[in-house]
Amino acid sequence: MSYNMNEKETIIAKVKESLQAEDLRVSPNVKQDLTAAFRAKHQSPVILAMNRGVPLWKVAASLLLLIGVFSWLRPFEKETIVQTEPTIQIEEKIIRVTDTVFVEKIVEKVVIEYVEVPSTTKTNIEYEIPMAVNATENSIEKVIYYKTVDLESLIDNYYDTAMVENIDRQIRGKSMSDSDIPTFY
Amino acid sequence: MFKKNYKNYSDEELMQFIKNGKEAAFDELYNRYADKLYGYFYKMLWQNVEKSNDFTQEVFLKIIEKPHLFDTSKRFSTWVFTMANNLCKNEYRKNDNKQKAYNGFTYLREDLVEYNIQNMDNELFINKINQAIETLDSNQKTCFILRYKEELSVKEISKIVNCPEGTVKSRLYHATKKIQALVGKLVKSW
Repeated sequence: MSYNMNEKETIIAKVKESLQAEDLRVSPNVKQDLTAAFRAKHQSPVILAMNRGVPLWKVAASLLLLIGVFSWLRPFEKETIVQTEPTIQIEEKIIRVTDTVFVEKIVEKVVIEYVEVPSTTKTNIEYEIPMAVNATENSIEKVIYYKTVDLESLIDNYYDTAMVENIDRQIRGKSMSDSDIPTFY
Repeated sequence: MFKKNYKNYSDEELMQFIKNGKEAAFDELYNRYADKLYGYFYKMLWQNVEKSNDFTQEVFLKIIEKPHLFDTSKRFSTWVFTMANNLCKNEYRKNDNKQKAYNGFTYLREDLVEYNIQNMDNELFINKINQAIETLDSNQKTCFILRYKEELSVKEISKIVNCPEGTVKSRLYHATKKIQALVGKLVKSW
């Protein structure tokens, strides 16, 4: 080797040659780790199988086999009994209550009296006779009239003695305003 | 299913396939660059086999995890060696490499004087070159290895080390001068 000709170039050429001839190889473990990392990041199992050259029909057959085994084993699975808390049923019943209010009210009523009317004599009933009477001799006629009820007659005739007593008590007990005194027709 | 043959694709095209999850493309790219990167790390990290393997794995993990960071309009080799160079820089910071380099330089000179160069075979010569490379500072070493081992252009190296081409040339000049001084005697007697 001619060193004098161009010392620097020769040295560099030799160094370069030696550097490139040097056999430096990365550990095979690195490749394994990287391949695993790559698969973990990128590939689903199906794509992985396809990349490895596994035929698609094999993948499909494997899947079908798995599904078959799973469906066959499924009936043997114990039924899980889930205990549920008893539900409380609320029954709603609507009871209609009718509150009866008794209104004490004196109602104008028709009074029918049967009066024996002797001939040629007139009745001495004090009541005003609003209707015409067909007076016939010794006949019993039906007299229909409207009776204006006053307190005294009410006391005598009205059926509701309790109410009458109440009114009486009010009258006797204290003086009352006009509005407080019940009006009777 | 047929496996696609990725041997005819460029590095940049392979990266595009890797983005789409093609494992065979990754395998091809790995085959092209794994040993190169390992060699680079081996030279840069004081012939530490374990670290060289780890760093090679780390670079490829980045390719797997973040392929979107690669701009396919640019050269893949530049990108991958930039990553490798950055990893080395970090390692140098951790290990205070300068001190180590100068210590190595002192040791080498004594070693070379004592060695009987007539019996030196190629393997031993490589060892001596490696020792000589160790004497370079980190910037010179990077430029020297990328230029003479990986055979990258000055322009590409300037992109990798992120400095002007003139600076790269200057570093190469000083690096070769040092190597020449250390290995010259051996070559002369070859």
